[in-house]
Amino acid sequence: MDCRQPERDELVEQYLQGQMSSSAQDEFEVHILECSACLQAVETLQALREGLEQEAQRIRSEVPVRKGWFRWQWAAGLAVLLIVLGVGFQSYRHRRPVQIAQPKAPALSSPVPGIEPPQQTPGPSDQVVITVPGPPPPPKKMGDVTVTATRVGSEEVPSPDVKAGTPEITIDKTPTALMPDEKAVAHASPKDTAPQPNSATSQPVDEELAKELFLLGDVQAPAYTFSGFAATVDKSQKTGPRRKGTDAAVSITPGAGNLAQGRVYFEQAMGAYVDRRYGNAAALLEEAVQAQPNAEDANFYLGVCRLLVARPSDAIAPLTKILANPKSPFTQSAHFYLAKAFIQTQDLAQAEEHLRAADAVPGRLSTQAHSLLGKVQALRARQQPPLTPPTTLAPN
Amino acid sequence: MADEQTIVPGTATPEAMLVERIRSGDRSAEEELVQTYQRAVIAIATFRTHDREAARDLSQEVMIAVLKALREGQLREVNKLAAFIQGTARNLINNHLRKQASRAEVELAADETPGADPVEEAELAERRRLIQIELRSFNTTDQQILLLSLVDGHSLAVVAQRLNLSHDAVRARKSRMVKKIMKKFAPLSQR
Repeated sequence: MDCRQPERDELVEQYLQGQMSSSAQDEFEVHILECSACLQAVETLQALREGLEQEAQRIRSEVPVRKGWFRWQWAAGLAVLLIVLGVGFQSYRHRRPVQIAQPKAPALSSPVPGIEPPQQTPGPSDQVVITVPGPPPPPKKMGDVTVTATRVGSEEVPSPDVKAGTPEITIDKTPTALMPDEKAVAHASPKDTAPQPNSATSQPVDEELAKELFLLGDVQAPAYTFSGFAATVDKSQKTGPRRKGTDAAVSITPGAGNLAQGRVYFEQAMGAYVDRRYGNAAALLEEAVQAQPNAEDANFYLGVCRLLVARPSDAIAPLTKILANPKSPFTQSAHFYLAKAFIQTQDLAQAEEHLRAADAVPGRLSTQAHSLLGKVQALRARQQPPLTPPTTLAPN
Repeated sequence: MADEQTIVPGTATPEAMLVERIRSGDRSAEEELVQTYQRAVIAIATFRTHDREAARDLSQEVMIAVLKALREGQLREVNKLAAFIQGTARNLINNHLRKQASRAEVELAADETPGADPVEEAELAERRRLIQIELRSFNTTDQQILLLSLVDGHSLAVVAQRLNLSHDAVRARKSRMVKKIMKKFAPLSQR
């Protein structure tokens, strides 16, 4: 195992986040029994996490104030005021052109004897430039295409038809976003890498497509509420009361020991899940699935957790397993999230197939599946090369 | 016997020598085993149970079980001591998770079982306290980056989105903070 820096920090973090497979986890644990440097790194990061957990409530409730920035309320008000002034000034200027005297620039000397110095041209004095500083958008990358979104109106006077969602005016919703709420929403993006410089003012078509794919592949964590810890069983193996209020339908494998163990892992996993610790939840769900390979709820949430920690390829197997039972209450959801996984891995054909299946199954995701299906079909149509009409030769 | 390995002098690893010494009843070898491996077992148990107190208790159980097995010569491949300890830890932790905090009483008397080094334990506790102080010295945004990524498990892209920062900025800030803490509190890991 390569535990040199900087790989060590990454390995340690992956281990503590529960992002390793069972075998890799075992291998790493054997390693830290023998490597004091890695053990110390694990202990340090564990201590850091414990410190963060203890301070979590305080950290979530604090509103960060960035250096050189106003608070978001002032920034929003100021931005609106500047836009209104800028638009007003522009319309006024177009009616009455204004000559603004420029101070005389110092004469430029030519660096090369005998060559005319460059002419100094007046700057864009007749153009009002209002810059509302804003952070560059996080670039998105899917596959081999790097998308750099451009903020419209970031360096010019925004036109009146600028969409209301321009990022410069986006309100920092950090306090609300960080507070855990009942409908825990997490947005997972496809794996991204180093961004490209953001200097373009227009986007090539393939980047636009990749950006749309990114947005379509966005995953929201389906809510989970604890409502008892029972499972429905086959008629031949009744072991407990029916679970209410959830989609749970668990196929029980023979062996009460495996069942109990699997359910313990599942319960712990869902505790992490509702706390939005999806990495930990995934690791516990892997154990649950090992104990109960056919448990549909464990497989479903494992697939979802892997999507939420940006492992779409790994999400496909557990979600596909659910489809073995056509009568499973998870069928529609499995198709829907499989479609998300395939969107994230850019396999639109498979995504479309699963969205059709999700749309065909009655359920709460029908509307979303139908809407998403339309968008995926539109994207696929854009990807197809346009048909070239046959050329007609002019008669002689 | 098939389950005993003959240790050839000059070719045995330190682990093999340690195992042999324990099998022959060397108490100092048992203490050495505990001093060498218990910290790592605590770290493993803490990760798997998310409960430091339970992890501490479990590490004791693990070391007792390992010592018992080694005394009785149950380790077949003496050069795989670490893997044996990890496997024992994993099984006992899984049992614990299954039984939910009910554990068997240990029959061995207290003075027969070497404990973890109290000085080392105190150092670890002090390190945790200092890490928390260091954490509070970071600004709010940095703390939120760490919380969202290390505790909530979100990807850097999600963290950047939630905090309205660029992905680059989040990655750089997180890396800087983690490196700072590692350098300060885990100097061995910087090699």
